[in-house]
Amino acid sequence: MDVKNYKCINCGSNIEYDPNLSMFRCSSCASVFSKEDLDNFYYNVNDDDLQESTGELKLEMVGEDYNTEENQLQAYNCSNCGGEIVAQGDTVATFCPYCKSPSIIRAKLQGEFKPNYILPFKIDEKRAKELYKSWISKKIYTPKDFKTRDRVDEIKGIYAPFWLYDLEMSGGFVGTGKNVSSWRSGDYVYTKTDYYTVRRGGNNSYDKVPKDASTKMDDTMMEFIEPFDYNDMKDFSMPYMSGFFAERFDQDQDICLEDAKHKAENYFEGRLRETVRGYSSFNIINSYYNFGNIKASYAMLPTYYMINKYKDKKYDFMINGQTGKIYGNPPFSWALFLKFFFITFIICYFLVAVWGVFNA
Amino acid sequence: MLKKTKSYFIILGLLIAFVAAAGSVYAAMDAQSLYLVRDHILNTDGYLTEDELDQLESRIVEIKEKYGMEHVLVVNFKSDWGYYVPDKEKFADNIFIDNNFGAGNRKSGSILLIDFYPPPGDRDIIIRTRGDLINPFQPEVKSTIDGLASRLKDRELFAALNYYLDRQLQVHKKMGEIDEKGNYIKPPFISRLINQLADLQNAGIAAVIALVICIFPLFSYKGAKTVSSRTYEVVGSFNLTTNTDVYSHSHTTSVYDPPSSSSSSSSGGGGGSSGGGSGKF
Repeated sequence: MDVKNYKCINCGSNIEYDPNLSMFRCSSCASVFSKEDLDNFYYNVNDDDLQESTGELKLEMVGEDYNTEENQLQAYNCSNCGGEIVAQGDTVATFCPYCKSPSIIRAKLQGEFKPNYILPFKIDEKRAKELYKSWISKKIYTPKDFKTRDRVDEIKGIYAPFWLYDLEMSGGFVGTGKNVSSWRSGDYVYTKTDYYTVRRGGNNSYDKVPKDASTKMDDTMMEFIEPFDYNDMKDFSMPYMSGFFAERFDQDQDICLEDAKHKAENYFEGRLRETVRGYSSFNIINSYYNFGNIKASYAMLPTYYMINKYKDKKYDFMINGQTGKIYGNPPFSWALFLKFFFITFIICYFLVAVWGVFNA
Repeated sequence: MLKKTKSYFIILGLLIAFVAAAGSVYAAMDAQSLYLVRDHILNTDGYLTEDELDQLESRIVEIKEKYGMEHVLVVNFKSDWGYYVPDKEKFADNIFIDNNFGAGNRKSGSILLIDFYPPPGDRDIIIRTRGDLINPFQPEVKSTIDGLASRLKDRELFAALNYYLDRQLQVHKKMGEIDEKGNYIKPPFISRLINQLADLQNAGIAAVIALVICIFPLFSYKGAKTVSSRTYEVVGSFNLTTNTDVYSHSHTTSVYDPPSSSSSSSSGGGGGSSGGGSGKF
C-alpha cells in the first residue's frame, strides 16, 4: 500500500501542517509553504493517479497483514527511512516509529473513504496543552498534584472522521400545557388546573449536523467538544493531515444517520418548544417528524486526544482542535469536596449569624 | 288593661333579670372561673406536681426580673358552670389584662393557654403576646405551637411548658436584658453573634447554602454542552406552520386545611394590641 510523506521543496525533509501559521513548515530548514506552493510543486513532479491536486515524492509499496480480523493490523514501509509502520486497519495518518516522519496511507483514502472536507487544526499541540492546564486548574475537586504536573502522558492530534448531514425537516408535536392557580376559601385550599391542548408544527433545515463515524471515538466526548466552525472547512486535501494522526470511518453514513436524525429532532423540538409560552408546565404527548433531502458528506475534523495517568488510572480528555473546547474525566477527590464544603459552611454560618444579629 | 300592662312589665323585668344574670355569668366565666395555683400559673387541674409548679414559677420570675417580660401559664379553661369559652383568644387577653399581668410600662409578656377538655385533635393551644414581646415573638409563634403540640400529644405537659419558656428565653436573649429602670440593655455585638451561632437553625441554613455552592461546580465538571437548537440551523429556515393553543378543561381540587396554626396580631379585648396564634393537638 502507498504511504505518503510530504517533503520540503527546498531540502527534502518532512513537512508538517502548522496550525498557528495555517501553512506547511519544514521540520529541518523551517521553510514555510502555502497549500498552493505544494499543489504546484507536486502537480509538476508527478501525475496524480488519485486525481488529487496534491502528489507525492516517493511511494513505498505494499506491506503485510498481521492478522485477518476486523481492524486488523497492517504493515507499511516508511517512504522516508524504509522502516516498518504498523497501523490498525482504520488508521489513515500516523508517524513512522523510527524516523518520526508523518505518514499518510493514501490507499485508505480512496473511493468511498475519500473525505469531502477537512477542517484544518487551528491550535497546535503546545496551545492544546496550555488550554488543558488552564481548564484543569479550575477543577476544584481535582487533586493538586494532578493539576500542577507539567507532564502530559500522551497527546495526539487526530483527525476524527465525521459524517455531516444536511437535513430538511417537517413535523411537530401535540402537548398539554397546564396553568395552576390556588386560593383559600374558609378552611379549604382550592387548586385549579387549566389544561390546554398545544399544537406546534413547522419545518426547518439543518446544515452539517455532525456525527462521529468511528467506533474508537467516544460519542459523548465528541458531542461535548462540538460545535466546530465550518467556515474554516476546506475541500479535502491530504497535506493538511501531515503531522497528525487520522482515522477513517468504520460506521457508514446509513448507520450514523439515525443518530444524526435523533440530534436534529432534538434541535427542532427545542425550536418549537421555544414558541410554547405562558404555562406553569408543559409536556409533549406525541411528536412526529419527517426528513427529506438528506445529504451526507464525509469530513475530517480536528481533535486532540489526551491521556494523563494518576495513581495507576488513566484519565482521558478530548480537545476541539479548532476551538479549544475541552471535555474530560478529571479525577475527583472526596476529601477535597468535604474540605471545600467545610470551609464554605463555616463562612456561610458566620455570614448567616451576622445577618441574624442585624436583623434580630 | 292595667292588669295586662302589669303582666307586660313583669315579663319585661324577668327578661331583663335573665339577661343580666346571663351577662354576669358570662362575665364571671371570663374573669373568675380560673384560680391561681402559683402567681403565674393557673388552673392546672392537678396535672403538675408541686415541685414542677415551683420550678416553672421560679423560671417565670427569673425571666421577669432579668428580661422584663411576664409570662402566664393556664392549663384548662372550661368554666365552673360548664360553658365552653366562645372566643378563646379574647378570653386569654382578658385574663392577662384583668389580672394586671405584664411587666414594665407597656405591660409586656405572654399568656399560654392549653385546653385538655376537648377530644384529642381538637384540643387548643393559645398563645397571646403583649407589649414589647408582640413583634419579636411573632415569627416564632407557629414553630412554638408545633413544638408544644408534639410534646402535648405525648402527654408531656411539664416538658411542653418548659419548652415554651425556653423559646421565650431565646427571644428575650436576642432582645437583651433590662436595666434598673426597665430599659433594654442591648447586648454587645459579640454576645449577640454568639447567640446567633448557637442557633441550630442558622447552622442548618448555612449547611444548605454551602451544599448548593459545593454542588454547583459539579454540573460542568467534565465539560458543558454548548450546542443549542439553533447551532446547525440554516439561518432563516425555521418556519412555524401550526401554532394553536386550545383550552381543554379544568380540574379543581380542595384540601381541608383549617388555618389552625395561624398566627395573628390583633387588637385584644380590654385595650392595647396583642399578638400570638393558636393551634390544635
